[in-house]
Amino acid sequence: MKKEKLLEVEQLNIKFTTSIGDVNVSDDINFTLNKGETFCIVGESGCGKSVVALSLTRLLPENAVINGLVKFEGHPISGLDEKAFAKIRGQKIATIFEQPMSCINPVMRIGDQIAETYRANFNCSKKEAKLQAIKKLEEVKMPVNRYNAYPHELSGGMQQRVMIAIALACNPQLLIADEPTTSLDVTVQYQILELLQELKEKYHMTILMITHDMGVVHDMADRIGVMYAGNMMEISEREDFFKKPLHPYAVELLNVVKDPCHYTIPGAVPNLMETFTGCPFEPRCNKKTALCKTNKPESVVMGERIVRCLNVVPN
Amino acid sequence: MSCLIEAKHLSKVFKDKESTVFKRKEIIAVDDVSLTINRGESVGIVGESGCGKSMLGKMLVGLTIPTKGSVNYEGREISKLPYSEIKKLRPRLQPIFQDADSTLNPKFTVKKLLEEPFVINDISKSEANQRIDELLSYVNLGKELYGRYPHEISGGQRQRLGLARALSLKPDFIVADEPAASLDSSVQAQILQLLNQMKANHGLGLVYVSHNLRIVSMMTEKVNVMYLGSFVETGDTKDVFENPCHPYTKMLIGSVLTIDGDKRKMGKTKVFGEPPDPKNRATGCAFHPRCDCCTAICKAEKPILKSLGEGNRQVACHHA
Repeated sequence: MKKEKLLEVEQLNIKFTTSIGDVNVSDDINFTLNKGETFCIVGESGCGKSVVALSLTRLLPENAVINGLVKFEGHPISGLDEKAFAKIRGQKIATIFEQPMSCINPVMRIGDQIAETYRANFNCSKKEAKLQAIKKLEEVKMPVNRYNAYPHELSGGMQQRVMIAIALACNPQLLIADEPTTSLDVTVQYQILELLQELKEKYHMTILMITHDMGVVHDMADRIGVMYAGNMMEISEREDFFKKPLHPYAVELLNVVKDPCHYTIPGAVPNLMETFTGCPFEPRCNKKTALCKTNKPESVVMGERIVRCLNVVPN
Repeated sequence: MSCLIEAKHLSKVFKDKESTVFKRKEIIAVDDVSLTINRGESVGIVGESGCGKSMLGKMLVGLTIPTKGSVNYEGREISKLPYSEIKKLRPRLQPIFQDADSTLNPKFTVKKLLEEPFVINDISKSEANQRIDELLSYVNLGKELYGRYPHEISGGQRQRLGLARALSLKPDFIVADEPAASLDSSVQAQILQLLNQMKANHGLGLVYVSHNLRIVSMMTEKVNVMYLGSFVETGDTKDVFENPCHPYTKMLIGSVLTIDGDKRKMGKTKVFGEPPDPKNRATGCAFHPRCDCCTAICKAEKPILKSLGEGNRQVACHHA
């Protein structure tokens, strides 16, 4: 069965121009999202995973220079003008963030904020919007009597639920979740992830999840993309990835997560202001050869997997 | 093993902001907690946010004075000592915080930050310099950082600098309060290994406060599970993680997502409710609103820690 593609990202290059030089945060990134799957992008902080996600809905600051092709349901959306794109952002692609308070208005009752989304996108009456908002609150398992509460009266987990309700108001096809549970307690994280999973199945949504928590990836992902220093190092199906990661960085990352008391990756993540002549992971890699320093690896397709390493040879 | 720190019936109570002259409202942060830490032993304290684990840690190193109860360090009660005496003990008892930034003066260079503990404790410059060299190689920081300010070094380096400062006066006892929580997994591993190495080399007592159960299970020998200010389960880490007895411990361990095994974990454990609000404490067992085996007695009577089976396992649950 051929999987239907929802989102295709081709040759995505993003750099920020700053007063002290350019910062390359995304270097020729390619990936596709199939309909109905959860795709997780993992990587250490500063590897560019959030920037890639934000660029999809054009939420980056003005000094970002974005090049590349993004196709949504087969139509290129990277060239659309702002007015046409506003119809996609929110209605087709919605985003939730790590900090709910960065998206919720602190001086507005939460119910009204959910209703506002309906008013803005569907042009419906106030009464109708309120009914819809109450329905959404129930769906995210919030007590309906909190409709008139202000955000500061809610706990972190509840705020997260409100944000999910707002994001899902228009039944988007793609939900981008940028570290949705990083700042939550394990028990609350578990419940939020359960909720996302449930809503995903109910609405046949596709989820693009950005996280650095391998435990979350293990439970949520169908496919996984590993990023390092602005490069997509490996894209694999979940089972393959956890059974046998291919890229040396992915191997080391899994080792460290499994046994942090005995493994470590020496060195630190590189400064993205440098341009890499070779593989960006080369200084920390334990499988490096002389070639790694001078030749930049290209993405190699191996069946369902894509790996960007000179030393991984397709068999 | 000799006993290093002994805490007996520690409580910490705060006056609520809404408290009035006529009606006093209290927030009980820590409620009648006792524990001992031996030399060379690491003890974990786990729980959700707001359960009082950090407050307990602060009381153990003498940064906060308990409302009730006592903390004994080598037979001396540190909670009753005058300031001048506590100051002498400070080098022996050191905290490490999650946010190393909050302990580093932003206007000091790395060199000055490292010298600070020696200056405060009147240690000669030559001795200090020698010790700083040792420390730097120990925490794997280079001398090229000397002239930098805290904002110019990375988060992992700051955390290691914090560790170096905590270690500089050769403490006996360290409370590490989420020392690796905000760091990436590869950097986290470096910090954890350093802590383990420290413990092995200096035979110090370590209290590891965290909400990351996976790391606590690897770092500690004994663990205390805390809920709303009290211990609900204590025992050897291995026992507790393999066979949790309290419903809360079960929920907590069940909600940890790991990469072990093939299967997904989601949906296997029933997890509900939010971390409780210390202002609105439930009657009887504080956990009963979230517990699925709650009965009448749980609502009426507060369970106390009871020994269970052999060993040092203790559980506070009517149904254990």
